[in-house]
Amino acid sequence: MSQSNGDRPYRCAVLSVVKHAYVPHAVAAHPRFELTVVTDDPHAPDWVHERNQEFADEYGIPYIRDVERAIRQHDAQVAVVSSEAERHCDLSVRAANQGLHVIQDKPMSGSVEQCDRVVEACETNGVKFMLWNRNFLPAIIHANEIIKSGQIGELHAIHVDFYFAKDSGPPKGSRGPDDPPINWLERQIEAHADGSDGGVGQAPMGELEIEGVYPLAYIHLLAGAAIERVYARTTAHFHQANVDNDVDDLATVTLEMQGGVVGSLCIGRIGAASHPDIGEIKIHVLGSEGGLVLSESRPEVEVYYRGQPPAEFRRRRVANDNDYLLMQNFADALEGDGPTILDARAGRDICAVVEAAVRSGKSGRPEIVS
Amino acid sequence: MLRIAALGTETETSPLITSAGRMTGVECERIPLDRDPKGFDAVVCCGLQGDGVETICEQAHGGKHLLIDLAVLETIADVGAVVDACRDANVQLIIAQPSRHFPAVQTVRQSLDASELGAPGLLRIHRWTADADERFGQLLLREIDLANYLLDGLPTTVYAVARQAGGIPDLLQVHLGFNGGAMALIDITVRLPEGDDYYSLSLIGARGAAYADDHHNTQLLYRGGSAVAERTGENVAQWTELLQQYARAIEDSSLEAIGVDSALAALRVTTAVGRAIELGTAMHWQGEEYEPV
Repeated sequence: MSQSNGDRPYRCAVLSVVKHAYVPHAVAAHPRFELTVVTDDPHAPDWVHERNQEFADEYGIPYIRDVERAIRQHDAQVAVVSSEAERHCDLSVRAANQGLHVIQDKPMSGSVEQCDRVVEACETNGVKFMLWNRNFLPAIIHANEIIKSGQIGELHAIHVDFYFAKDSGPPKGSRGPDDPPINWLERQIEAHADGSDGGVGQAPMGELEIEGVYPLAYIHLLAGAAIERVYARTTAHFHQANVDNDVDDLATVTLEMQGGVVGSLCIGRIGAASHPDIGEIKIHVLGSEGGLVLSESRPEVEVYYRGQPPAEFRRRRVANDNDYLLMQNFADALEGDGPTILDARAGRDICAVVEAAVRSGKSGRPEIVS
Repeated sequence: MLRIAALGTETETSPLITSAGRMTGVECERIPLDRDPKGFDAVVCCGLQGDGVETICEQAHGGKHLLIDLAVLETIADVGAVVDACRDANVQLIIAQPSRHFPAVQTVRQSLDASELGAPGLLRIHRWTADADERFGQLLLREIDLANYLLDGLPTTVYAVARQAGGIPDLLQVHLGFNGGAMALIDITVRLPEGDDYYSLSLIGARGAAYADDHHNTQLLYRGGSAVAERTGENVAQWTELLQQYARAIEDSSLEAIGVDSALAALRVTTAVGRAIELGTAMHWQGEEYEPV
């Protein structure tokens, strides 16, 4: 369903904003969109209400503890969903059923069934959906141009290394004999201060589930071939919270794709000491006529100075228009009837790959992607 | 003076001869496969074609000490034949893997040994070459051996996928799991267009990480149009340490075969890789051999 809004910006309701708020900030920064209200369910816990209120105050917009009423009262056209991960799909479905287009934070869900509900709701109601991603980073755009131009011929293989050099609480092995296991949600709430709360929610999630969407979205864009079967190895190698909650912080996945394309993914939250910046993130592509080796972080500028805080990145990404281009893509989809760069069905398929990989990590066998 | 005959092509033997040239007490010369290495004390087999193992065994029977590049061996039976021949002839045997001694690999190994990286968690290798003549099995064997070397043991699980073009394999991806949760992903192709090859090895440990990547070691050349990336090479002296070890072993007359267990381990894994591709399933180590899950 295309929709012209004339010169007026689209009115956006923020449906819960409990993480570091990069998604609603990016929406607000684009001239075609404006945030009009923050909303959540009345029974949400206090810490959720506090964060929602704080964000609403930052933008000088109301916070309403009733999602459906907020949407009606503010005549919202777009929902921006940035809740705890296990509520993502439910909020998206409720928004779609009220006729709102949806921008949803990652991960789409830990459950393919939940994603299927979103696909159905979006298709039934004729609304657009975009799962937040990094496919408009300069290096990804560049890679896509090279591949699509045919310079390396027919695609044979694609490999993505996606290491986040961040810590996530106490290191593995640090728990004393009388210490209780780390509570996942409490750890994630605490992690809000340093922005490492990507897995915020009641249900523990491994790196594959939290961040896997980014590299798999690269593969979706660059290879354009469905992933049919996976084989994975997973482990909790770095962080006590992951050990205590039996979720991975390091994983490798072999991807068997449509048309005989071979792929792989290495992903991990490998600790701040393991890289001077956010992490080694690389893409390797092999084609019938050549290969491409690409660093996802470039272009960047190195900055060093006396007294530099140890945690500050020495290399700063530059010319990064990812947020703007995602929102422009969403606006174009609203007005031009085309799909978004990562729509509900693509997001659902990525969730299915992650689910199969987690299953394979436990079974020790290759698993079919549903 | 230890006089060494080098068997193999010029490409295969030139790193060895370069390394020998930097040592005292060693002379090294490449000789054709069909020439009797009379007058030499020892033979280094850098590469052999066809009846390779028979040629190696003949050298042993002729009383020559042997230093063999692991990649020359294709099967576990090959290892047994060479070990038997050397034992019967009372000559020294070393099965070596020159790739272990590349400066970048040694830097990673030293960093592990110094506990800088902590327990290894993930080894990632990309090995792309334009050398379609090089046997896939040789490349695979080298990288598998490196995985065993850097992750300290034999993998407990092996999975692999391959691509073929016109019935010839052009791409191989191997996925290994080790005791303690460590893992390795290795992809190999021999179908790059003629020109430079590409190599990348990353090791992620519990306390740190090491990245040895050709991508980081390229320089830019401007001659109009797009810049050309030129790699600054690691001057090849990987054989020096091996030759020193070899010379010491001969001098000591211990005659204890060196490198046999590593060779057997690597060959067991490459055999499992073949089975995993054939069966489309993961193979698990069962104490004696790998079995499908």
